[in-house]
Amino acid sequence: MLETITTHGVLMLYGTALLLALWRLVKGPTLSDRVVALDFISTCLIGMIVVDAITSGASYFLSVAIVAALVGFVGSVAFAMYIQKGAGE
Amino acid sequence: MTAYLIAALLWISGIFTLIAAIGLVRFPDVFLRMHAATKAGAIGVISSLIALTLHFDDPAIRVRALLVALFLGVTAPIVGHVLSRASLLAKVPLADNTVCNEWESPSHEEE
Repeated sequence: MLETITTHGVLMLYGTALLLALWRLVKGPTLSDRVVALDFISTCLIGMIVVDAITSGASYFLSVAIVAALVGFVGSVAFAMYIQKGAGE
Repeated sequence: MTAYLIAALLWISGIFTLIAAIGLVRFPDVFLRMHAATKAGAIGVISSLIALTLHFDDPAIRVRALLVALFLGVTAPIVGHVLSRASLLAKVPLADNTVCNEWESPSHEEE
C-alpha cells in the first residue's frame, strides 16, 4: 500500500517536472534555455527509469539508466560547444 | 523499516526534482535556471538511486547504482560549468536586476 502510493505519487511529481521543463523547452527565449531544459529532461528520465525499476523489480533497467546518463551528458556538452562556436561569429 | 527509508528517499527525490522544475520555469535568467536545474535535479536523481541500492539485495546491482550516482554527481557540475561558460561567451543577456557582473568585458576572448 505504502509502496503503491509512494511510487505513483513520485511518478506524478516527476511527470509534473517534465511538463514544466517541456514548457521551458518550448518557450525558452534563447538556445541556452532550451539546452538547459533538455539536460534537465534527460535527468528526469533517469529518475523515472529508476523509480520504475524499483516498482517492477527489473534490475536491468539500470543499464538503460547508465546509457541515458551518458547520452545526456555528451549531448549537453555538444550543444554547449555549438553555442560557443556561434559566439565567435 | 527499510521500506519506510526507501519511501522517504523516493519522496525526497520527487520533491527535489519538482523544485528544480519550478526553478527552471520561474527564474528570470539562463544562469539562474541552470543553477536550479543542475544542482537540485542531480540531488533528486541521486537520492532515488540510493533508494534503489536499498531496495535490491544483489551487490552487483548496488555497485552499478552507486556508479550511476557517482557519474551523475561528477557530470552535473561539468555540464553546468560548460553551459554557463558557453552562454556567457555567446553574450546571453542577464536578468534586469543583476547586481554585479564581473565578466562585463571578458578579458580572455575566445581565440
